[in-house]
Amino acid sequence: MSARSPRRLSLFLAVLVLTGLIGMLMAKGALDALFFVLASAPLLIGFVCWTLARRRRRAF
Amino acid sequence: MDTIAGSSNRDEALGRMSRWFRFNVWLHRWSSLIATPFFFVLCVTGTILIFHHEIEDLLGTLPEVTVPAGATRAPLAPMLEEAHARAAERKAMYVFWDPDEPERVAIGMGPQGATKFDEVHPSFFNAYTGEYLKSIDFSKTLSGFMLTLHANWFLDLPGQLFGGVIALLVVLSLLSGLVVYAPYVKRIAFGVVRGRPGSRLKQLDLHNLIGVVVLGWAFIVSLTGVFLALASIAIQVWANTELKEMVAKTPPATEAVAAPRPSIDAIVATAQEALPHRELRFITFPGTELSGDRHYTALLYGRSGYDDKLFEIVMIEAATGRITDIRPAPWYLKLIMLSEPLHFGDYGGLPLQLLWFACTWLTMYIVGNGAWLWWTRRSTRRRSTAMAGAQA
Repeated sequence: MSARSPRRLSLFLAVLVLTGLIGMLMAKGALDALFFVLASAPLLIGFVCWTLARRRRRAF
Repeated sequence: MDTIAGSSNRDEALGRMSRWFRFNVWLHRWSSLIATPFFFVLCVTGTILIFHHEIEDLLGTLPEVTVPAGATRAPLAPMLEEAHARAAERKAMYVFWDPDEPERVAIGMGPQGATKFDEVHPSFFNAYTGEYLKSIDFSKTLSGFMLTLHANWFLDLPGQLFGGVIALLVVLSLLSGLVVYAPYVKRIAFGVVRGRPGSRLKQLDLHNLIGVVVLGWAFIVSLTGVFLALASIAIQVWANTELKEMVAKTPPATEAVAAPRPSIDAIVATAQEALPHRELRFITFPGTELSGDRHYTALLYGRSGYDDKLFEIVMIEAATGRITDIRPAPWYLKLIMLSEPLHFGDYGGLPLQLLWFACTWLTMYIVGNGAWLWWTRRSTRRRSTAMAGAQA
């Protein structure tokens, strides 16, 4: 799975939407929500991509 | 000719990019290395401060308060009298209603003659019954110690500015790190960590992966840290410009007109009525750096959204209880007020505190392993040079 594949792109979008929704629920304002997404989405994406890459390497 | 010219332009562009890249490698390395030891202290103290409410509850810094059903706020004047009676050598400098703990009200008692709030000991009262709870010297609590270390290194303004410089170095390190990261990410799929445990390659991949996932958080927290480090200067600027203007609007002669002076409760009511859509959270007595000698300064905050972090200023003449000016906070104070929640992450409860905790420790990890990567590379280079010298 390359960095530009549709699966990875849809993963990025799903994480952005998910963190956006959580951010809107938790934060008091739009800027809070935006910052929540900025802080948590890359963390989640990084973790998922790292797990996927690890599994893929193990499969080989 | 066109081909030769094109090739020469490309070489020039590559040369320029290379210089730019090398500059960023240099900047990333040295800004990070200089900031590392101080940044560790900021991260450790910051981690504790994320949970300062929980720690204070655990240590019983402030007593639990029960609010009788249907109770309304008790008058302030008797509380003020009791605060004076319990600390006769001190004077009241402010009243503060914490929106997160509406059941308590704090009366800040400072040394006689003081205008700054540095040595204030707040006396806490039950806001609904008026019962005295406790007087606290926050500098002697764990949270107070950590906050002072985090905010000014026990060095007041020079310490604050030093903290700001460290935060600025971290901002530079992050931005230059992004430039250094760009060509790396083109060669390797995002999320891949190569190498064996403990190897340099594995640490480098971890540094790049974790670095980019915490980049957004670390950038905002460091940038807001720079703004917060300038808070004292911003308040001084405001006190020397706008506050002076606001105070000068009232001619001194009016002070002699009214007697007796209006009570603190009358002053509070006047401030609240001036801006009913806002909530009064902080009022300073005359004789402080935020109020001048003849006025109360009331700060009224918005009730929802980001307005909840921003205040408008109402100046009330102490002698007459008359409002003399109402103004919004200037842009530089707004910037600092908005920086606070983003820096401390205290707007979303425990989930956000845990996110802040994770991001802080991940940032500490990349700072530590970055220093390790630099050190091992340096040692390897030295060994290679020594071996080459021996062979020659």
